[in-house]
Amino acid sequence: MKRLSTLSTSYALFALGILLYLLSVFMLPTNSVTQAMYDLSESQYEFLLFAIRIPIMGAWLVAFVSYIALRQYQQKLVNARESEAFTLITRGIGWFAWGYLIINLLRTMLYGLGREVEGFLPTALAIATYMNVLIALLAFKNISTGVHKLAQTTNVHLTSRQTQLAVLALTAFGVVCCVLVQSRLGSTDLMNTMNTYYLPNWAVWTTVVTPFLFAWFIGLIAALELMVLSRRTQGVIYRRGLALLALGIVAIVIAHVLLQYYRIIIPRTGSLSLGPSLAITYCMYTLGAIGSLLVINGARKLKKIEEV
Amino acid sequence: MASSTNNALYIRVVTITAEYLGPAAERFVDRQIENHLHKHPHTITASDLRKLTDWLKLTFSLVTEDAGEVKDYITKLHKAAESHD
Repeated sequence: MKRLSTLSTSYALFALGILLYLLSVFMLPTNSVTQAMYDLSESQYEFLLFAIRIPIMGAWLVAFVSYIALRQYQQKLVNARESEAFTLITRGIGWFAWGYLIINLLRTMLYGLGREVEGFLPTALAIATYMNVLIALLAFKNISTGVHKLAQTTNVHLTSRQTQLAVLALTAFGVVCCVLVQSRLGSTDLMNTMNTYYLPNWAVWTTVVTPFLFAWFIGLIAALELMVLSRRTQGVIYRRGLALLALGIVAIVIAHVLLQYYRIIIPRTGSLSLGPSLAITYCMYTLGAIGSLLVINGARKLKKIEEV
Repeated sequence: MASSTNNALYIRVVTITAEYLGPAAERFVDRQIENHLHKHPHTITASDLRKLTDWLKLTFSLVTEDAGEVKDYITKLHKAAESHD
């Protein structure tokens, strides 16, 4: 009964978040730059923004349902050895499910405020960047620790060859990211603030790029470890459920890493973009939604084993 | 825990089940014994095995739609019962 009410509260809070987000789309001041760029009236701008956000809100909903499905499975593992591992993995997925709704809600409000208050937009953009850093750290840290604990309970670990290849791929990924960020920063002067992040260069490297790279690396290594684990763990039927769950989490991790990677290379401007940026965002959200659907399916299969 | 009991029959049932349900096997077997035989899992005897197998067959078929897997599982349990006799 208590679990049911907690579940209802979670759904109610999520619905409230979506409602607030929709209200913010229609209530906050419109972006005059975007309006002028696409020759839109105020109401046309609001409806365009609403239409663009519908698929994204759909992806948030699927992500939220996957978090609930995972939580329901995790609650069945009260005294199990895997309990702690799944608690952490669920928490990580929960940070993504809640995080993106909260970030987008706050960002829409901050941008609205930025359009009202002279000179506030750069601060709003910097706050939005740091919120993304925080969510990435919290989500990936929990998923990584959870997967590592799961690997310990099942005694399945990455081979040295797998670890070395992963480190090589991640190093290349990180170097490319740094090169692209440097091209955005332009100047090598660490005190320079004339960049698209609206932060001094030293702050971009130390408080944005470094924590993002750390979060992505531990997230991607956890995804790899989970894939290996799901293939080598004992039990044909259990493995089928775990494989779906693992594949889903891998897709979610990759989608979030690529979306954040893209956002750090092409920082937000606070204006609506209908070009390739939107297409890339949709692709990443679609990948994340597919991952969430796999998590729902896998978690339900595993939960069934614990119920009968 | 299967490892913390000397009941060879119980360990055998859990080991066979683990081939299908992996880390969830012990919890699955324990639930069937506690809920349907109303006994502590570690105290099952050969005389409980027939009834337990019936329940395991029924509940196992709820977690897989593959009839071959169910048949295979039950055959292994029967063999274990015979070898235990």
